[in-house]
Amino acid sequence: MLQPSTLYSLTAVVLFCMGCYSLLTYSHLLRKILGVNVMGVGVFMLLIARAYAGEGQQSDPVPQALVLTGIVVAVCATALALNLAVQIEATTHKADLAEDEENNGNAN
Amino acid sequence: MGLIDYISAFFIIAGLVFFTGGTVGLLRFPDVFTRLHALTKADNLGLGLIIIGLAFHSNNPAQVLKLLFIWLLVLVASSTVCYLIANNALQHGIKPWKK
Amino acid sequence: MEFLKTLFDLILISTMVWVAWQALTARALFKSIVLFIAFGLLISLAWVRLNAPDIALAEAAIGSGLTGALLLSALGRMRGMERGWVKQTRKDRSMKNTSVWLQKTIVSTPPSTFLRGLERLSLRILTLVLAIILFWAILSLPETSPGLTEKAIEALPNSGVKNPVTAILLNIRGYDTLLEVAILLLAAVGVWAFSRSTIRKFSNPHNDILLAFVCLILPIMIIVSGYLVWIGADHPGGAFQAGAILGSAGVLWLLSEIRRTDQSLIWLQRIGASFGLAIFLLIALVMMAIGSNFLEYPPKLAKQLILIIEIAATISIGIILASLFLGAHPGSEGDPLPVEETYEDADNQEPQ
Repeated sequence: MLQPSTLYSLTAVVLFCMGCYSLLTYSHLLRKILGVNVMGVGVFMLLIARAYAGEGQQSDPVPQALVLTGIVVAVCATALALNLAVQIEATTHKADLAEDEENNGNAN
Repeated sequence: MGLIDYISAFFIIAGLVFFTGGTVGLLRFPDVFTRLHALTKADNLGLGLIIIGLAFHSNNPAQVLKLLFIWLLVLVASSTVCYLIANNALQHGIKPWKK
Repeated sequence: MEFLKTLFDLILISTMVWVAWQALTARALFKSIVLFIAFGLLISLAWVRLNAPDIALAEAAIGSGLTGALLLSALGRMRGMERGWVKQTRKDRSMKNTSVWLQKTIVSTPPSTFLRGLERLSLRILTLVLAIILFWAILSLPETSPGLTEKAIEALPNSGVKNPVTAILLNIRGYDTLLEVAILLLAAVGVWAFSRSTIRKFSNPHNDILLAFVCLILPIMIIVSGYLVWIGADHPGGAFQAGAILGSAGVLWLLSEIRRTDQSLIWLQRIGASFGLAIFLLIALVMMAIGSNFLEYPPKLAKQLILIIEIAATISIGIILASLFLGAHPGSEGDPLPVEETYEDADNQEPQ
């Protein structure tokens, strides 16, 4: 039960759920982007924890290559998302996605 | 554990003492300048002692030189960053803490 | 001994989860981002623990360092200050001695503003249910699975390199890496297409110590980057880590305000960004032309081809990451649309 593989997989689930909750709860764009990044880290940790094969042995290189690709793609997506958030803030003067008061929660 | 392990553990624990001191300073000191002072102690001395401790475990002199090079780079980077933060703080009007 | 390793794992994991929680729920966004950078470094420690040193290098450079720099840069550009929360931050004990200027620029938001009580509770319950389902799924997986380790080790002698991760990235699953370099270029083009504003001015130009530091460090970073590409064939390293170091060198160069608006630099940015993808595609098509399949290297030439692709990809990744940090159109000092005009347009429009 306390094998590193299982322990880190469970941590990955915890990180994923924390990131998911943060993405859904907060209305500020930067917090959402941080939440998505934490979710991404959770997914990577699950892959690498399942690839771990013990102390001195060669761990599975295929998930490691996938995660390496994933880290770079995550950084690209974060950069694009941050740029869009900055543009939104520059044109509408706020970076919050909170709904307007007069719409009573309708998104129309 | 042989003698080398004990010596290396001693240096690493000494480095950890400095890192703990730096962390406590970061959390408890009253203003930016004093916190920077604490952090740079952790960076220079703490990292240096840990690297000396690790150097006992390395396989060849090239690795020891690489570790020392890492320490040198961290020294240069942390002192530059310390200066930049302190300069920026002074320019924005943060006065040093007086009792 | 096993007990100590498990203890280390537990300490690392609890610190990681604690820092992530603090980063996601901090009141001030600046604190969130700084804690996220620290979280990235703890994650790279976890990667080392899990026998993945290449990924530890990439996470420390790209995942923690560069993402942190991008987040801080975006935070600095967001000039909207939620006025209602400026007073709140003065009560925060840790900010007691910062000046009023700094307090106003730390954009601070209340954690959950738009969900009412019932929605928030149901969201918490749903997330908890998701966590329990995933826990059960993880715990019902078999202890170890065979994985693709043996097949990868078998294919290693024909791939031209000794590091299995590099072999898989650039030879066995080279198509993924080709698409990844294309995604990098796409992100750079997206950032260039969307940004209308000019480059923001950093607050401390002509700083002598920063200039001296940059003049010392930049050549070292370029050498380290080349070393990482070269050694990626046998030891942990490779094109992406080296490209990340080169990108960080670019970020440092941008931050120190050394001349940025030469016309030649604009062309360097454009050509450099597409260089990696172009070389990769060229080699793939040449392979198709000489008789093997798309992206299948003949075993005798594999090492040289991988090295050429890696060098081109490193240069490309470095230039793309630095221009992602810059965030503006290449050569936008001459952009016809200044920032004030966009504010006027926003004021004239109806709020949506």
